[in-house]
Amino acid sequence: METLIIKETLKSKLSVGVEPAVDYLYSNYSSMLYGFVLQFIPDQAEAEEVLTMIYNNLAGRLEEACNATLSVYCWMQVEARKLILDYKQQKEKRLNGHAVPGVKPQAYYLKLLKGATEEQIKVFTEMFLHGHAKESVATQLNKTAHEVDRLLKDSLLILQKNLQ
Amino acid sequence: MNINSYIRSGVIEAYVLGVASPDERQELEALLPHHIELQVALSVIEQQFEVFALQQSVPPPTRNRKRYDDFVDRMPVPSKGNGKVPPRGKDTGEDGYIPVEASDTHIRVHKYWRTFVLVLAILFKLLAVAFIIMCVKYFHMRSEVQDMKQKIDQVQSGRR
Repeated sequence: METLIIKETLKSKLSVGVEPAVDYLYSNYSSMLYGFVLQFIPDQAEAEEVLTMIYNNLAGRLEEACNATLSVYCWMQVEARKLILDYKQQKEKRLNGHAVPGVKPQAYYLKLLKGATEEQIKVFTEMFLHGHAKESVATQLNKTAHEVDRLLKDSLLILQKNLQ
Repeated sequence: MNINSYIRSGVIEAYVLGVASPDERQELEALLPHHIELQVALSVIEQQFEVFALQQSVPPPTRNRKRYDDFVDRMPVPSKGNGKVPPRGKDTGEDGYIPVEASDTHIRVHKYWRTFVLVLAILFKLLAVAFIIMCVKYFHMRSEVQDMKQKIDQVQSGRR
């Protein structure tokens, strides 16, 4: 069973070398991260490639994880999301602007948005899952950036409430 | 600033999920060292997201482990002394092992060694206890034999 790695453990692994530290993170977090990746990239084979890419990228930045304000897993998840969105953007460019297959409805965090309004779900999907900027979402929904920001925060509060 | 309304604003959730704006991130990181309740709230929310991730975990297929191992094999390893890190495989000897110069005073062994050492220690203790018992018995018997010899000598000298 995966353990929630604390920074001291990661530091001690890193003092031995990067390889045991990455190996340890892979053994403990690959299943959690793979589940996370699948909400952005439903194709399993592609998600596997992206998971390897994530570990490849994060291997050289583990000191950052030790010094981050966030816990090791949350830091990895935040960085993984950036890499996934970047990967999807690059892929869209390669496909000449054609959108890559979207997210599964009711998958992962989306199923925690029970009770949220359609607008809140839309803002969460656009900003968290597609990485669109607040301003572009505001233009799309004909709202102000401040209103979009409030909708995002409200959706996150609903999500967190349903986590409990 | 009312810290409780700040906690309930959704900023922490946005921070944990990586959707907080740079200004919000900076503000939260500046406030954290001064507000214990903020630290507690962040820790609780992080744990909730981690537990959810654990519940939603999907083991990657084993072929991904192979892919990952291939990646690890390509990771640079330190070479002797010069501080450069050549790619793995270039510095390997004929036996396929990488010559490693370690200054560490510790060694890493297989976990089965722990059981083996424990069994060995218990056996050693049992043998030591048995040895002590045998020694005590031996000296006790020797003193008894000496006592008997003395008694025989006394009896013999009495007859004369």
